[in-house]
Amino acid sequence: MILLEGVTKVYEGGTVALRDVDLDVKKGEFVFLVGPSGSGKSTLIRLLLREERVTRGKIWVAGKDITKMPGWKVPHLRRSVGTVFQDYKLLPNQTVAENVAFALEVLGRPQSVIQRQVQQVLELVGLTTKGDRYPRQLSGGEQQRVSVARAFVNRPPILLADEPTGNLDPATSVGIMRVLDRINRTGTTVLMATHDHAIVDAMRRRVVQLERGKVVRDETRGTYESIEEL
Amino acid sequence: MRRATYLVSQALKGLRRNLLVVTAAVVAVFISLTLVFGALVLNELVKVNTSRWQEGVHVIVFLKDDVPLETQLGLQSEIESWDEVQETSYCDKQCAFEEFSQMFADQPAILEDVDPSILPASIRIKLKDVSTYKDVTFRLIDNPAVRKVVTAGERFDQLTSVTRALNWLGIGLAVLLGIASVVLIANTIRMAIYARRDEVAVMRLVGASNWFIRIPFLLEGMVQGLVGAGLAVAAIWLAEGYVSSNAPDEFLIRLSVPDAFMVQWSIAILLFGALAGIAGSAMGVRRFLKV
Repeated sequence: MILLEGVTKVYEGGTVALRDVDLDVKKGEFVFLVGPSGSGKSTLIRLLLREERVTRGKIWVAGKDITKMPGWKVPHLRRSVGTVFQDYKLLPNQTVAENVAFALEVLGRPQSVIQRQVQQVLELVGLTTKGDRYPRQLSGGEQQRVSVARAFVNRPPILLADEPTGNLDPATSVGIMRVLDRINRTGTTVLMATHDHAIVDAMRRRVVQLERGKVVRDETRGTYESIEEL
Repeated sequence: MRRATYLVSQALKGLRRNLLVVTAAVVAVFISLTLVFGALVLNELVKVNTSRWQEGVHVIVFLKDDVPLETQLGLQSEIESWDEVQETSYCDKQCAFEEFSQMFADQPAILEDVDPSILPASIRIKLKDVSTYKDVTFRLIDNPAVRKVVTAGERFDQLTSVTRALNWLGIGLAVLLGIASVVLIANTIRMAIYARRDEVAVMRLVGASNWFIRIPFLLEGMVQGLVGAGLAVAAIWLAEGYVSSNAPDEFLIRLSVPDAFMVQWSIAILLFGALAGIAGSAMGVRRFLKV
């Protein structure tokens, strides 16, 4: 589903964010991307969305070589990849339902389909009763659920999450993780960058650790710290 | 179709939500296009008046008394056949005396002293193009039947050069103001889009194509341009109507322009406003759409 081969990213000014990274994520996997700030987690996510371009190497997302993809096809790539960020990125002057529907409006779906799918996904994230609220009227955890709902409403095969629990307290974070787990069980591939030890240790999923732009560990049922270090 | 209604509704929403910036853009278009249209109308006024002043007789040929009538009339028909000449009229001694009497109607003493036979017959010439008066005068001056040729030539020359200068000034002003208005619109709309860059970022995040993002902004720009231009057109119509209906009938200069001119240029200004709005939005949005 996601395949990186020898990916190197050097930013203008010479900062090396990723060095020769290889990574293969199969369909339906749940992968934690861990590592300290500046280890290259966010860069990797931005590369997968083609918000940045690789300096060297190749990346395939959902079967397509996105390093060669022409700019006008990038919107199509982004439709097959749902994204969730630490700061939610909701539109403040649109209601919860409108925010979620936005991702479908973009695809030009008929209104009846949009309404049905928005209802379904709000059910999935547990916000059925809050569809007509505005983001500022919701708690942080609820806002993040809206953002997850928007990322998933058009059923993309891949969901990328960059520190989705970064602004949330542990109890709320668990709620978000339940939602992501539920989404993963529908067959969606999930790649989540995080610092959150407790969550990674509790879930026991595949862990890929980055250190100064290199993959230093890749375990199938890992914890946040490698066992050897402990 | 459904997508079209969605895009239009997005544009309307955008206009409603950013009322302040939208107002600024509309006012910018309104002011600059009012100035452009105003300059064009003034320019037209100058043209209208110049051609009015150039109407009437341009050259008068006074004839010698001892030339027989056939020769005089022959000369008239010869002049009439020249390319530069639009029409001629012949005024004999009797006609000259009538004109003279009219001119000095309030001074009967002068009239009593004048014998109609001393006033010369004349041919009055109206030219197609006033600037050819020199050629015509030159050809007539040596004719044995001609006593004297009179023209208002130097005045015509001055008038023509003043008109030409005013025309260029008007056109230059309109062009400069037109450019200024496009830049003003572009800037204002860029501000509007900058205020909504988060929205654009989210649209890109969920995979909206560039055209899908762009179209509502372009529609907004077009509406702003049209409204501003509409206000400018209305303002100039009102001003023109007010001035021309309040000007005295026998005023030295005419203060109204033809309706056809107003209609044509109103349409042009509206189109220009719409296009400037679209162009401004396109410039404004481009920066935010780079992948």
